[in-house]
Amino acid sequence: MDRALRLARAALESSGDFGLALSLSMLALHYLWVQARTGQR
Amino acid sequence: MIWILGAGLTGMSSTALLALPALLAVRRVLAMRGAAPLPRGGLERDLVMGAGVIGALGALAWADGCALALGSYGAAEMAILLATCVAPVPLAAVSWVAGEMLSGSSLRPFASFILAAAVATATSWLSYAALWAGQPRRPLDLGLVGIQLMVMFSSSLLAAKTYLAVRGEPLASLPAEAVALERAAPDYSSSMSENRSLRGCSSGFF
Repeated sequence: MDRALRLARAALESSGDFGLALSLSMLALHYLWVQARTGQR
Repeated sequence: MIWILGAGLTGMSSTALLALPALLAVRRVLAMRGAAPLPRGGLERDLVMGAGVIGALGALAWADGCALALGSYGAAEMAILLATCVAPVPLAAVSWVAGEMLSGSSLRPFASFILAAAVATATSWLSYAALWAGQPRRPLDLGLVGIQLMVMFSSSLLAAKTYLAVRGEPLASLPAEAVALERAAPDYSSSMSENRSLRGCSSGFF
């Protein structure tokens, strides 16, 4: 029970800043991929 | 020009139909309720951000579900438009509702919501312009849903961070004079924290 609560708390804590950093990084990577694909055409 | 008008109208209608009823209901609950369930702190902040994540997942499911239900032709375009033009203001409302419900009414409830909605809308529109505007049509596949999810997470979490930064102290912890001054002269005393820092106080008012 304690382990599950600790995991839930860790997931909750990381959902904010880590989630934001991850999603912005993925968006930046996708943008670069879109630009590279557009440049090839 | 027609795109700007359409996006503005979509944002206004989504605010009126999707966000405003929730905001009014929360204000009513806060007026009737005796005390907030949680004090301000790390757990409350994490819960607000977590609500933003759950809200983003729900908004994406709603946008893609509506697009698929409306028809297969152009489902991807409809899903992208729903996610980037209709969803941002309700996404900002999710974190606002979570924060106000968990820790009570804030000093600047309207400014925090308006700024959070503006940040969410700007993030979504910029993402649309950068990733999908002028690009060839593509099917509504798993890759598109993944990128949509990143856009929703970004706008929702940035809106939640904006709300947390702007909302100010909980009303219950402030003296009545502080609340009256903040509401009467927002231009003169642009923020309580500025007043306190200028006067060298760390807590209380003046």
